[in-house]
Amino acid sequence: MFDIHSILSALRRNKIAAALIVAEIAVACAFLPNAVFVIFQQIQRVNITSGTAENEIVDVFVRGSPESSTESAGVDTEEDARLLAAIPGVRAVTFVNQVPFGGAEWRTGIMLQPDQKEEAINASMYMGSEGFLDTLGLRLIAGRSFHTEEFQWYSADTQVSSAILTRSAAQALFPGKSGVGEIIYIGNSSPVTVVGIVDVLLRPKFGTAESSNFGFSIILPLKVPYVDGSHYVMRSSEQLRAQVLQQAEATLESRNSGRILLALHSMQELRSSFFQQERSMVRILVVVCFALLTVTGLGIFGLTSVWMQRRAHQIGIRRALGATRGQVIAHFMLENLTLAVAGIAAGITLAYTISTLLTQNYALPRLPLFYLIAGLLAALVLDQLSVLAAALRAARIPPTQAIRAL
Amino acid sequence: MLAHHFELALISFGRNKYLTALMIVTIALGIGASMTALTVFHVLSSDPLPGKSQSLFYVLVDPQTMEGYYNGIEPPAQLTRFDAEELYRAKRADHQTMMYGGVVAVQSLSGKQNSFMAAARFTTTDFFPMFETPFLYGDYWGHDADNELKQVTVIGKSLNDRVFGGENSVGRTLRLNGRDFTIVGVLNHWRPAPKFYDLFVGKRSFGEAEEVFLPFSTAASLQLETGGLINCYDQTSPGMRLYDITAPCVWVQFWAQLNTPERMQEYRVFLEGYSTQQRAIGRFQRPPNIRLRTLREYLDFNKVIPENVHLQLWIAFAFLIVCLINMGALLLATFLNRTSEIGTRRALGATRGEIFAQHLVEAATIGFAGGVLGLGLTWLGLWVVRQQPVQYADLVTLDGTMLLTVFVMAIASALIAGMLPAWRACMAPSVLQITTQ
Repeated sequence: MFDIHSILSALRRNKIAAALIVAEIAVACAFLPNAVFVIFQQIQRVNITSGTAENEIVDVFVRGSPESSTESAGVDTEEDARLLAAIPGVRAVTFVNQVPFGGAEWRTGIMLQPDQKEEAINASMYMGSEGFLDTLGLRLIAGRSFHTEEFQWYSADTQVSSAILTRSAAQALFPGKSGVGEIIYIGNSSPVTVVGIVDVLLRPKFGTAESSNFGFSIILPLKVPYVDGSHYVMRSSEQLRAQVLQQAEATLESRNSGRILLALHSMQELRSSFFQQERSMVRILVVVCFALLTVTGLGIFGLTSVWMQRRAHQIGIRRALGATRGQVIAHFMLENLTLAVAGIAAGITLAYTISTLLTQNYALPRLPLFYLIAGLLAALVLDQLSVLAAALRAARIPPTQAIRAL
Repeated sequence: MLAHHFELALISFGRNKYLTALMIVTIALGIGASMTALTVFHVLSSDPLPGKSQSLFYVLVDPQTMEGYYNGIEPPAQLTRFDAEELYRAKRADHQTMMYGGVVAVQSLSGKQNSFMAAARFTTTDFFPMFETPFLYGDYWGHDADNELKQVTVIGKSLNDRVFGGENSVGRTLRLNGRDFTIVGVLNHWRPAPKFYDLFVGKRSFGEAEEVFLPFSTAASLQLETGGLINCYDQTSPGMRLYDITAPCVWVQFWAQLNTPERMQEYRVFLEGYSTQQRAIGRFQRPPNIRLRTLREYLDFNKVIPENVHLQLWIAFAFLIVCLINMGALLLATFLNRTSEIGTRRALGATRGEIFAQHLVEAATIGFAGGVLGLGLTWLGLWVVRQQPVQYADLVTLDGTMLLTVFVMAIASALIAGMLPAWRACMAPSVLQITTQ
């Protein structure tokens, strides 16, 4: 029914036009799957759960100045926390050495034996005052929270005896067990008992290299005074948090104990600036994808429709000999499909070449088959739609045109 | 002839208004995207000290234990305080400076204002002439200040504006971390990009220069901490602080200015001699393992250009290629449309070469128009980049070189895109052949 022979001969007579269409499809097939894959990778990263009640949390980052005295720093820090807790709308307050998305982090190696040389895992170390779990809104899934008498002031040689792990850290250390009641060693410390497990607590910073351990955190019952750099974290509500942050600033400014307010942010602001690069990458890629689809679609449409118009005479004869409009359209769609197949074949090779380069240079995983197929289908649909638009125009050529042209 | 080709091109545009507009927009989009990315790349890879960077060297020696050693291993990225001070004392380069970065609390003398933190650089006198810092008032401190732990400081323009309202503050006192420092100089606006001399403070390769400069020896004796990277390669003995001169920790940067290749060779020999000597007395264990990188090599080695910028450049150029293929397709479409006209021209005596040239001129004209529009898009793209909260936002502007590149690129791209279609056009049979068929 379809005349493959006439299609091939048409393509042979217009090699350059055919080659250009193949190239357009190939490039689109190579680019789209990789771009969409990178977009989804970045979105996945941006939407990672921190494990905290992010919308309700605000953070004031303070540190000591030379005026602040080390002796009274503990008392001062607790007094600050008391004042902050009194702000209307504040449900809970804690002071902690680091917060998720805060950037800077304290790390520690966790060992399973006291004299182990190689650490079992490397984890981020949260040292929070009482109320840390409640203020951040962490979900305790096993064991217990810290008791009041377990909290101590932090100094370089404080020894702790209890810790809480995140689920992912516990699973890495004790596969198949809950982890509660197990003994771990931190640095050169005496044994530390794991008393509880929280579901998720993201570390303050993680690159693409840490994608497998961004949830490795350990919580210690240590209070860090502001002289060593401390985060005053408050939990209120989404509606009140801006107001709370303002009042917190005023409250802390009015009581000058020599500390310096380095930064005041809601947790959401911290998250959004943390992922700034990823989000701008997504925006750029989305814009480029749309521009590419538009340009390619218009290019294919422009070239095919001119090519068809040059064959108006031939179309007219076909129509005069009884071909329906549908048959004319189908003929051109099929003609283009042969080009699309060639383009897709070249596109797959190119797509995997790009993917290999990305894997080698930018620590991205290999392109999954799903994205490749989705990308190819998108390119194919775009191509066929452009051709359909051109063919609909061409099919309108009346049979009389063939006679007139003679 | 060219003028005639150009005239023909304009007539053709008049007949194919939509297609021409589409081609111009296509090439403009490609140029806009690629030139935006290329400009960012150009700005970030530019030489922070043109004309001088060839004679500035970042110095490394390897003080580590034999553990993990193999021939050619990269030494640690900074020096121990001990080695830095030894190399500094030796004064074997034309100029040399050692330094580290941190923060200091700037306190008001009256006690009325709250104190605030300022980024600080703890360095030696040669820092200023070596890196050509511009001075607004006063000058840098002398060697005596380095040797005698003097409490002197050079401050940046914005700090001077903030604390002294922009007045000449030379000779006045600034209270830093509870001690009084005498201001000897005020820098004018200084924005080295990248901030090449220290890439280890918060990984801010394109951050602003510090606001406070203090003598290294003074800062070290006051035990001011580094805000950068510290790497200890051996167990410190109990009670030892990281900043102690004998601590097996690297955290100091060292730069040498060596004005001729001979001086550079001499210095290399000196560093190897130093390493051998340190090994002889048992401080070093490894065979001499030194690095002497020029500023440029140092920046390349540390990959100061963010990964994202590289990736964006690739994406932009991939997009440009898409645009070129499409422009080629559309050009072919317009040329195919006028096969009979070409045939007539051929019958009237035009050679294939002339037809080919005519169509290339047409492509180039479209390229030029695309360049004009692309310039606008590039400008828009750079404006968008400047709105991003990235460290280098304020640096991204279009300079003369890039302006010229926009047009060269636009026209070159159009010619490449037009090559095949023009060849196809000049292969059109003449009308005589058509009629005899």
